[in-house]
Amino acid sequence: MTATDTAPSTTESGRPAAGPFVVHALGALALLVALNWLVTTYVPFAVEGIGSSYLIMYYHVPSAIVTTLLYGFVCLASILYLVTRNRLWDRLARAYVAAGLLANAVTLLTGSVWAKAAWNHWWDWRDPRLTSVAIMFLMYLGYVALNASVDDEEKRPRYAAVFGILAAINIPIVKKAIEWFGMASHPQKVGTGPEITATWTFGIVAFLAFYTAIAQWKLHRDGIRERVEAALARVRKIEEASA
Amino acid sequence: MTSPFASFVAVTALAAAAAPAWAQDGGAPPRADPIGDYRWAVYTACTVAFAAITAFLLVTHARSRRAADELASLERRLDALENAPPGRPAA
Repeated sequence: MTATDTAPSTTESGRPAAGPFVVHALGALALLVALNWLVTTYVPFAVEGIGSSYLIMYYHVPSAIVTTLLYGFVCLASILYLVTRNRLWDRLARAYVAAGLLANAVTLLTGSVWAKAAWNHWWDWRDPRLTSVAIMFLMYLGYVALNASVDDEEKRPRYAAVFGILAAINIPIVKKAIEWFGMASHPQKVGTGPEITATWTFGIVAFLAFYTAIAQWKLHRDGIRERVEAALARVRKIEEASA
Repeated sequence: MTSPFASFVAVTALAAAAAPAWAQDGGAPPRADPIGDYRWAVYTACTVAFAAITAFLLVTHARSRRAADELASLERRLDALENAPPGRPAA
């Protein structure tokens, strides 16, 4: 592996370019602060039926949508890895899984907090969407465990790519869970009005920027770690040759 | 079975064992508004949390850039060692 193929944006010395990442991370922060501002001052304070507890939906719903988008990227990167065998796709898939797991955890936590406020219990296993999102989270934890468990660097990316493609079956299941399995205790629509729709859309953009910044951060770190491992292997080879 | 996968299975089993207590029905939801006058406190807490995560990302990214510089230097020295003629130390 050479220094230049460790990340999509590197300088001539092989170090990750700071500028785009700093702009990306600070831009995402600005969007999230703006989202907080909109939730605090712009949208209705409460909606009929569930009162102000619905406000958490401005974090829960965008996180849920971005989770499925990130896992969709994982599937795409996994397919591209199997087709091209370019290790960059494997690293991208792992970076998107890390960001996706964080988004998935935020979705589960905010959903659980909302359920406590609205239903007075943290979870309802009868709700197919809650359960399918929890299963999706566990499956992608399994992706991380698989990557950590296989030592053979030739086989690991291949197994991970196949897993990444198979795990994407969760995306349509989560999307269609209520339609396919019934039991619509999970709210389908919370409030109406242009300010609510606009804030939700803004939230999706803000969270997509935030989680892709996390994926970019992970991608750089994985690239450097692989270079360190490659350099150590070269050191061992030189030591063996000189012994 | 290696240890990360064993840990994953153990955590999943624990979560499954705790699930019934977690999903216990607490009766009717409380009447009081759960957020009430705390809207600005929630705003501040969310903003601080996002800012803290971003600061962590920026600081650790800057450190990884410095590590990449040192690594590039090591890689150049390794190139020199590998390309040095046998029996002669690299410059």
